[in-house]
Amino acid sequence: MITAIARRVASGAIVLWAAATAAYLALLAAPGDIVDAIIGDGADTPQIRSQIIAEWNLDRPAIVQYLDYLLRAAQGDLGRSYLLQRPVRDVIGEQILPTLKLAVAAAVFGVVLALILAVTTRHRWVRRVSSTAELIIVSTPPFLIGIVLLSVFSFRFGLFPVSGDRGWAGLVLPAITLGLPIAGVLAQVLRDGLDRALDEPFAVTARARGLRERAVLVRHALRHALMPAVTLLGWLSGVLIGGVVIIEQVFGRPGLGQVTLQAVGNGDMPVVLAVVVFAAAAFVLINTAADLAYLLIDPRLRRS
Amino acid sequence: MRRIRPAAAVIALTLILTTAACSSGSSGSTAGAEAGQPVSGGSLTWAVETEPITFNPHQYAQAKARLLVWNTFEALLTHDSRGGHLPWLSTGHEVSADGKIYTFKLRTDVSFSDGTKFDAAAVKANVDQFLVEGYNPTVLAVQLRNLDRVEVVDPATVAFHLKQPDVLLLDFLSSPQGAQVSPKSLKEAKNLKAGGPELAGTGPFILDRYTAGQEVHFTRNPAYNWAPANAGHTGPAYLDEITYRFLKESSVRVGALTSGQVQVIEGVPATDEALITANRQLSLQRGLNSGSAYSYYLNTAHAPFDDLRVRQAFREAVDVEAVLTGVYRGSATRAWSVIGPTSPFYDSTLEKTYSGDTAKANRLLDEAGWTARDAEGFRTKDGKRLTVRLVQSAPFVRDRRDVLAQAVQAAVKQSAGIDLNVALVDQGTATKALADGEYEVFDNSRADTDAGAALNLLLHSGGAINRTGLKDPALDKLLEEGQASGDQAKRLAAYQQVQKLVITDQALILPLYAPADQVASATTVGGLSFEPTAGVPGSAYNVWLSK
Amino acid sequence: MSLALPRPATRRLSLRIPRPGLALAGIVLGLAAAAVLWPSAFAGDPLAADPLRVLEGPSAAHWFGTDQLGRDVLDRVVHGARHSLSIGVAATLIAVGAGLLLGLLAGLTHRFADEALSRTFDALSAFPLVLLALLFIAIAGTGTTSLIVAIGIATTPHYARVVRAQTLVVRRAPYVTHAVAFGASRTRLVLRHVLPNVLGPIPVLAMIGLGEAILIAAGLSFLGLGPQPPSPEWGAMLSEGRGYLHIAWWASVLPGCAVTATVISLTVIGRHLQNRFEGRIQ
Repeated sequence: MITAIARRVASGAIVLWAAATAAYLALLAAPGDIVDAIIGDGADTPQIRSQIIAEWNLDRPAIVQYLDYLLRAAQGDLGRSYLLQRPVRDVIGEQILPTLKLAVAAAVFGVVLALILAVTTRHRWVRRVSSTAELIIVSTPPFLIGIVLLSVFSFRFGLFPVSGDRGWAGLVLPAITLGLPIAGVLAQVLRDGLDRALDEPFAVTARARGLRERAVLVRHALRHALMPAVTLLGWLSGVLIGGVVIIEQVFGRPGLGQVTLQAVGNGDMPVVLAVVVFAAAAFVLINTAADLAYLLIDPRLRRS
Repeated sequence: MRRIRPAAAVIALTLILTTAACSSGSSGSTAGAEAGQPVSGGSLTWAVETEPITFNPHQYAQAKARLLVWNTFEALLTHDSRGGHLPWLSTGHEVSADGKIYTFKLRTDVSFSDGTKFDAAAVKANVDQFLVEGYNPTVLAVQLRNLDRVEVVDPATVAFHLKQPDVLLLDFLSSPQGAQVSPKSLKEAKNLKAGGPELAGTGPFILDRYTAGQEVHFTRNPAYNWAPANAGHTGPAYLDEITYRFLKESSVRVGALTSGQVQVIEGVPATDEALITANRQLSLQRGLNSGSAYSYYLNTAHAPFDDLRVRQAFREAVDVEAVLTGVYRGSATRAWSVIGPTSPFYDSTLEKTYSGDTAKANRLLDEAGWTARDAEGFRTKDGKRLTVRLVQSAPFVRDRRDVLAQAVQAAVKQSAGIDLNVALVDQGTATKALADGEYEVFDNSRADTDAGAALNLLLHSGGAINRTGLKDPALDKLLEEGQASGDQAKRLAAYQQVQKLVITDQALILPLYAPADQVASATTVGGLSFEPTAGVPGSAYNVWLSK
Repeated sequence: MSLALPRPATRRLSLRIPRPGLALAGIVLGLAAAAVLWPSAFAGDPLAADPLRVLEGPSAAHWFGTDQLGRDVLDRVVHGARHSLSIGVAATLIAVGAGLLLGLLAGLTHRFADEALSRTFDALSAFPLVLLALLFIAIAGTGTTSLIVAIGIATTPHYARVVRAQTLVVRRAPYVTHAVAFGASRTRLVLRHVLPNVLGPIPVLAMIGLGEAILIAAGLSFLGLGPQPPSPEWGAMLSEGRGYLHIAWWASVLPGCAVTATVISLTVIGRHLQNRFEGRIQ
């Protein structure tokens, strides 16, 4: 058990280190010298250049630069944006909350909708309609769904704020937009899991005990169907982190997605790198937590 | 102002000559007939297109951020509606006979919102701040180039000693960069260059909350009682509080207004104007900006625009009228000269002298040797396609200029087989392309309060954004005459010659439209206006919300 | 925005697709292929603008209406197929190529290298694709090539994982152990025995992956990081038409429908093939 946990934590650490290193290599690979890459479109004066050289240890051997970078990253010091003239940590810290709100709301909406869909659409025709709808949702660019929702429910009917992080009402449309594709995927996986579970011996036994179909479904089969879905947690966090970049743009919400996009547009490499490292950290955290939770739930895994 | 890095913007304002009779066409009109009489109180939400890159007025760089600056900060002087200056935080000024000492009498009843008294020492502290290395080197190098020192004569008198005469000082002292920030803030602010709530000013509002990417919030400064003579009223502002939300997307701004989520928006695309005017609960105002017209500058440094005939042909190939109608639905004011039609220096005789003659365009190109056509229908010469490149920097595109570029692109292709290659790129790429001369067309408009300043930058052989590659001593001489003289008639004569030279003789420029700001609002909002001379939306001092 | 199904789930799904659905998907893909190969046979000039007929609704003359420059939206959608699909195909080819190489490498090397590689694949395959692509674009700049490579790199781990798993299976198969026993060289072994058998599931995976690549491309293009105007790429059209949605829905919604129809068809046919061949492959 201890070894299994240690293994998961260690591999999480390795992924983090890899992400930080990849980000660092990306900086080296950027065209122009490293100082140019860090300045981006910001003011370019000799004073700023020397400040960058000092901060990134560019006058020291490469290995020192790299180790120092890792050390700083490990301490949560993600560098300074010369374009925004602020520490990157502050930039991210300021924007994390709206993104987190959106991600959580979307995840909750997506998961709940998927559960409802999977459980209620057992009948052959309903099921077919639902599957088709899910397929369409999953195959449609989410920003298209977003702009259509925005146009109809905000511009036309004024039901929700057009944009920005304005209380819970402002969260509804973005969360639906981001959550719909999640629901589309999860519903399919859950439904499939339910199908299998309902054929398992325990379901047959339950039925034999006189349990009604719905009870079998909700009390027994669903739990089994959820197991494979839990492994999708990593995928889910990936979709959320990637999705917010586009959804925030569509709805003019503040957040990490906007920060990232701006940084990419302005060549503000310290921010881009920090976002990648930060996202990797969030991602590793969720996955490691999920893995560990899974170890606790399913004893069979502890031995592997 | 597009494609303007802080440096360029600063240079621009510097070169502004101040002449009493330099009138501007911006109307300074005031809406609110339906909003009735001004009332105090209420809270307003205003959606703007541009989020300022800084709230420190000394670092000001974006014309679209100007309306925010004057809420919190004020300068010694302000512009009147004829391009002259009025006292604001000063009560008057004198110039020494040799033009080297400007002595300002200051108001004695003014305090910064952090309680600091406004006096001569504060003015000195503000100017001296520019001496701090790296604070704003461009202002130091350009606007304050001739400044020797600032002397505190007594608490209510401050003297600017110049190394040599420089009338530009007055313009600096009426510009956002010359705005007065509390000396206490200058000393203590942790993030001085970015500005924000920690910077106190003397203005009618206090910036108390800023959420990046979202909004900025101001509350009324109850102690305010020093509005300039042309402000419209005296005493504190009408509104209790005002929130400016940053909504980049024009359709989102319009949607927010029509669904009642904001009361005022700035930047209304022409395609949406009908939605506003058709709605009786909403009203729309336009103000033409001062400065230069939005124009395409043709790069004469290399082929194909080194050939006058090709430049003329390019201009004839565009039916500007049709293109503007398509993109702006007839709401744009066509420009015929590099100078905007509201400027006193505008040469109206240039109107209808060129453009839109397809036959002539094709004849000129044939004469210039671009006779063959390739598979896609573009003209070629010696196997090389007639391609010209326009590089637009995405973060600075406004008024759907990217769409306009595509319309011009389609027009020159269809009418004359010219391949206009439009690239919408990030700021860094654009800067690099311009620096490397990898472009044939450069697009720009400038919102300078004096058109002469824009011309110096754009046309003078030493101009910071001279992208045409033209270095003509005769042109330089005319520009210098226009800049040096205090005589309005002489300036007019010089600038008319400049326009004839670059528009008619050299076909250097394809002027497109006169930039304008649009403000749409609910009819319950009164007192919205455009800033005198500059023509950009004014501060919220006069704005009220009827109950 | 990795919205196509995550791999483990895809493999487990047993979606039965009704015949009419399959036929419809086939027709859509056929149309898309025709539009890619001979766009001019079906549509006029996608760049021909008419400033006097701007944002006109669908009519007999313009079935899909006109856009903000008075261009025919249908012409643009047809020509856009070539741009959008070739971006997706090129990116998928890069991903499959790199995935094969890395997957084989991981599957055939010894423990440490395999562990390192497959851990990286695992991590990257769930890591947000958009973010990976953005990182690449931040370095390499915007543009179609950059977009293709970015998506290619970002989707590589998916294929690498499958190839690795497949390689491990093949490696232990009797015919390989026999070949080893008969003293076949390592190169020969890989080329003759391992590679062909590893390739099996790839085309179908690539087909579903293509849909995913098209969606990501549309997303990045929407953010302004893809092909530049006046290119009739679908994502770019959506992005350009977005500002006019409230007055001219056709300029953005119809190109969006083209994306959706193509992606659905790829997914439907891909999954159908997957279901049919599942037994044989694994």
